[in-house]
Amino acid sequence: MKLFKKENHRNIVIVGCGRLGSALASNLSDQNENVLIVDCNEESLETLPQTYGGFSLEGDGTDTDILKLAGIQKADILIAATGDDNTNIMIAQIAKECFGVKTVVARVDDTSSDAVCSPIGIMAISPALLLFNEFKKVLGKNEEST
Amino acid sequence: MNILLVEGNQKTKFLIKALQTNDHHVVVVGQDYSWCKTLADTFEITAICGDGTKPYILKDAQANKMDIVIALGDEDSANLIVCELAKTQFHVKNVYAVINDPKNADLFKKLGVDKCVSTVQLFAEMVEQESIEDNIKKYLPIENGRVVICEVILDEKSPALNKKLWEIGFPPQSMISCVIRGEQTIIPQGNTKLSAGDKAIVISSSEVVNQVLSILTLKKSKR
Repeated sequence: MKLFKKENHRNIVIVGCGRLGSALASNLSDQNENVLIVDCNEESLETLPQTYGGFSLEGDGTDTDILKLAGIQKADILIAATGDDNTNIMIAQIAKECFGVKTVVARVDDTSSDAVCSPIGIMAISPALLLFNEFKKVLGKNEEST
Repeated sequence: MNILLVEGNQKTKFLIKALQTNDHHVVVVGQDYSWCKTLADTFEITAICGDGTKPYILKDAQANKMDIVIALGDEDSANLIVCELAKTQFHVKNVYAVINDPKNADLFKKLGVDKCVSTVQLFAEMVEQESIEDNIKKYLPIENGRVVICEVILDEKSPALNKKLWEIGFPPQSMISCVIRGEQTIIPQGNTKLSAGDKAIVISSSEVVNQVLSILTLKKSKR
């Protein structure tokens, strides 16, 4: 844990410490951002790599008190990266509507959920859509080479 | 009216019964197949088996034709999404939700849910009302309990008897707005005296309500 808060770096709150969340957290903290990761499961937080230089907090990310504790009022970016679409969208909405976080990104598996996110300025990233695009690229190349 | 209920186990059953007796047209969405089947069989209603947070399921349930959508699920996040979809995509006029964490009430309202009910909150309010003694008959919280109105019946032991109101020394932010004495209704002034058997209607802020009640009824109410 760092003793001095880094100035001139963005404050990033990540909710959900699964594969995506923990990878993002360690990567961003390596880039010298102020990172705090929240997960309701202590064991998930233990999966963070030893080199992770940010903070971690055990608690329910949909709870506004926990988010306040995580310093969401000062956060520049919130990333909702739990495994559940609804939870992610709810967290993203809390961040956007209640705390006015500038950049809010949510992991959303179901592409149809985008309808809820985009009108209020939440960026939704869908693993399925990314996979689809990646596959299309690969298949497209193959067609060209044959 | 056309009413769509989403999830909710036992709550749904009870609600369907109540709504049907009032001649409302009810449609149910739930994820559990056998649950849907039972409801469809017992109440002869349309039951759609699927995830209510998905727009295509709500479309199947003809959410666009609904007057009211009620999300009764166990997860707040799911209920929120159901309500938002109903509101934004299907233009339902009234969307209601059950919330499990009372803290979410403000958020839900902010995001366009018309009304939300929290069981825990109701219980808390009930306990609060029960814990207040017998001489306080009615207890009415206003503005989320910031202001309360209550009806206090003064018995012989009341320390406020035979004193002029200004002598009693009520805390600021509180007043006796009305005294009912038999058939008489008195709007009290500083020199009005209270007597045993009077019903006093007290308006006060929630911070000082206990103080006021202890002045009027001897026993301290627990909180």
